[in-house]
Amino acid sequence: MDKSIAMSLKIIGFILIFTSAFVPLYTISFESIPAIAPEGSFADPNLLAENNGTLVRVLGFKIDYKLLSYNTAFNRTDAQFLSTEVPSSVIILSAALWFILIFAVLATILGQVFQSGGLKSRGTVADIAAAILLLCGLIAAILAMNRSMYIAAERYSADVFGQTANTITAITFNPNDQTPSYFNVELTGNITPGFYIFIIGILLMVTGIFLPVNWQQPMGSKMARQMGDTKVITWIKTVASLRLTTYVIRRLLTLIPLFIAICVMTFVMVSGMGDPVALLLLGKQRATEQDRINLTRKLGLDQPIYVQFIMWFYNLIRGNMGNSFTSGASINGMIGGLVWETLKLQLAAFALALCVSIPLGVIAAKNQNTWIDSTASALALLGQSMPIFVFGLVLIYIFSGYGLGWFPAAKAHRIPAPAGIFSDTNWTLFRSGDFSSWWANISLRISDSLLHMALPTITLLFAFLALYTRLVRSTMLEVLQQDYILSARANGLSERVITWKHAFRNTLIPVVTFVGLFLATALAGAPITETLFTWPGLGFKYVQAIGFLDFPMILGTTAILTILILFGNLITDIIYVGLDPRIEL
Amino acid sequence: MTKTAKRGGIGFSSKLDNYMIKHRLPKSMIWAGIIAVIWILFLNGLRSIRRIFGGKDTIIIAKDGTLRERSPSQWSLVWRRYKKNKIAMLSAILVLIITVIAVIYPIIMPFSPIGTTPLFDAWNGGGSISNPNLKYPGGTDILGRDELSRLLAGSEVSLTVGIFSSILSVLFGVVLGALAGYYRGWTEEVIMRITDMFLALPFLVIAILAVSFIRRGRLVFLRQIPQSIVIIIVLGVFGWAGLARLVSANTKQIYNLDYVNAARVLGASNRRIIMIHILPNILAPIIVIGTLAIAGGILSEAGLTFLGLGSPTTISWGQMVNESQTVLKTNPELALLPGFAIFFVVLAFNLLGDALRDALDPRLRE
Repeated sequence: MDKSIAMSLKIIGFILIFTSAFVPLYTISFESIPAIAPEGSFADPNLLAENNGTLVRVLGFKIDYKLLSYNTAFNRTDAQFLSTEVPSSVIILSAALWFILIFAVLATILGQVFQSGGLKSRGTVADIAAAILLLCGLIAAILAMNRSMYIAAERYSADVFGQTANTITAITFNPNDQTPSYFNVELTGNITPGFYIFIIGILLMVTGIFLPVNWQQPMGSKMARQMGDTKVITWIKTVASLRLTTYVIRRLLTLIPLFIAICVMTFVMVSGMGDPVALLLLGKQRATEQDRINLTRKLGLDQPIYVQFIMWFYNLIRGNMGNSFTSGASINGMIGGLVWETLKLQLAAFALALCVSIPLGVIAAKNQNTWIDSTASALALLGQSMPIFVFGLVLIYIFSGYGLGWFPAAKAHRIPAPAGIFSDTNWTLFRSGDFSSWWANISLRISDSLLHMALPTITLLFAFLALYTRLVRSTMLEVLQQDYILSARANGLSERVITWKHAFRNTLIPVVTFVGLFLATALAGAPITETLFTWPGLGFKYVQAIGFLDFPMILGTTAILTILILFGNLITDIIYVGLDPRIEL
Repeated sequence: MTKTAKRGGIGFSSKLDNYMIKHRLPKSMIWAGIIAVIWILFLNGLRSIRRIFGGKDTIIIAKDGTLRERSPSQWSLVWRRYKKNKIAMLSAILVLIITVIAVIYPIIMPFSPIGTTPLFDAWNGGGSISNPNLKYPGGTDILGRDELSRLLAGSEVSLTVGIFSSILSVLFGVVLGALAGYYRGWTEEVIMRITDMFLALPFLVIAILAVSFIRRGRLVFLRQIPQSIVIIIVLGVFGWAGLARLVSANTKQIYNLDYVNAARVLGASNRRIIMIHILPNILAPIIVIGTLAIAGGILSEAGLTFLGLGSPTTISWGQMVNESQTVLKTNPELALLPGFAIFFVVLAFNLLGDALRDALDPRLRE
């Protein structure tokens, strides 16, 4: 069997699985209004004047988040709860399918690894047995899923008993509030096409994993020979057989279980961090026990932790990070600005550091064991040993309002912030032809931004500079000792050509790798810098959110930071592989 | 009120007890002393020191009665190379001084690091946020505690966290790396995938989460763990991945060498091959990375406590910087003294690591 077939099956399977995540997967529609029994009597649907309770359906676990208001004969609004919820077995069964997704992803990765020579002695029998086992498990899970949903549907429409509470007096948080909170998922419809896409994807992928493969064949060549040399096929063949393409795909595949694992770890730790409801109700004088229950349900914290995780992760894949516990605002709306502020700072410092450290390192290596070299080394050592917040404090003390007063010490903009470059006011000015005031606005914005950026950028620059200079210097020294440099010297090339054309280009390879790793480290270090300068970026918000136990915010910022770091590493590796053709993939 | 030891008598131990109680010295000092005494008396401590550092008796009498020159051991060669480097010696002395301070600080500190000076002390240079003076050389902090005493006391937490987190991560890294490098196949795959995951973690972000999960979380029994131990565990657990990868690569390289095969032919067990034939050969990079990890651990601890994750009962330099930020304008020394203390300790360990790298393996020199 050709390698490319197995590979393409796996890839197509993956694509299908992850597109299916964007289609509502498998839900039940509850057409009937739930029958609610008022005090002591049986249900009479006519009594139900108004049903404010929005039924939130998530992946087959049906949970009533909101109270149902009920108009009785006494013309009084009572709060009703649905006493019967979906049995926990149903929840467990529906969670099973999600774990199978994760398992399938992991199996793919392991299959990749083993096929590439990790596990040598794997016979056909083992292959077939494993494939059958996995397929059986899948089919069983699917059947169980369907069955459980029927059970849930029947249970729900059959008997849902009500429990009358007293009239709510002090409503701190209105349970009938329509604004969605933590998990705002509303899915309707029967089992949808997404479900089938999902299953087909898994089947393809599993087949791809367990296909017996002859790895000696060059990839795609046999298929292309059979299919003829049409242009499209040739192009596909070329792209598919590029080592970089396979490498990138393989790396992307390994990123997925990594991300899931990190998310699980983060979620478990965040959920155990404390009780946000108690924190939110702290100091609310008239908060009752009822309020506490309402708020817990509204925030979705009454669910078991794995249900919470699955709901959160499902929303995350669909691009929804929930709403902040403290402000109630959507995190999707905030996170763009935060990422921009963080990246602005980090990339500016990064670019400056590269501009300074590469010439510095090269010069230090060329003048080894002179005062230039020792100065550069000392500088590197200082930067490496200096805690970033101490250097920042020194800068604040000298250059901000305490001392010289050149640069502001906090925030990203003055208050009130000047209008953004692409904001409406500036567009209006631009369209009306008032270029002078438009330019005045824009230059004010830019200069303000640069002024505020100065101190944090210099702080980061100092930390980066140390690492990069050291790295460039040591790599350059190593390269300068190679034989081809000697032969270039022997051929009478000028020192400048040797340095910049022969040596420097080869220095770039390790430099790029390590610089990428350092960038990842720097991003992870963002909390310290941003807290020191109260810079409104991801790190600062993260530290703040931990103080307020704002779970969606913590989870959202962590997820975004993780994604940034993972992709930073990936891009670094791609550049590395692209630069050095000798590297084995 | 001075307490006295319960056991009567005028023996040495009760005198020592009384002295310790009077000066409020921690029990850890006694343990450190006992370990040092045991090491010197029973474990050939002095002799091993002399063997490494002495190198005087290079002429020995061999079995056949002739005079021969003793072939220098590996460690004495390392020491000879180390001695030549002035910066290396300087860093070693710095580290030694810091360590000594961290052990004996209760004796030398002038005031209590946690007790506040009474208010009327403002007339005598004390009180809260007083400027540095002869009585309080570092000034006093916001709550009126002596800055110099706190500075000295903070060295204990910094060093403990740095050293023990480094030991922990080296332990994890070496064990897992050696296992992955020696036993190929499944073991390697599983361990290396876990290693990849830990390498890709945003370290500080996860560390912040973990510390606040343990210290303030819902699991009450976790809150009982002392602050510094929590940080040690977190840094150790999340910091081993790089070392594991290095050790596994080196182990793989050595695995195929002839002398390892010879040992295997002679019937050596896997454990013996790993412990005696492979690990000593990759000790040099492990020592260097361990030393640099101490510096990293101190920095991380300072960063975490700077972010406000410290406990109020633990004296930590990062926390002192954090607390003193508000009075940066009037009393910059309160923030800058602990800040530069961190800087110097980290610098000393970085220098030590570099010097060790040069001394242990001349090929590794840049």
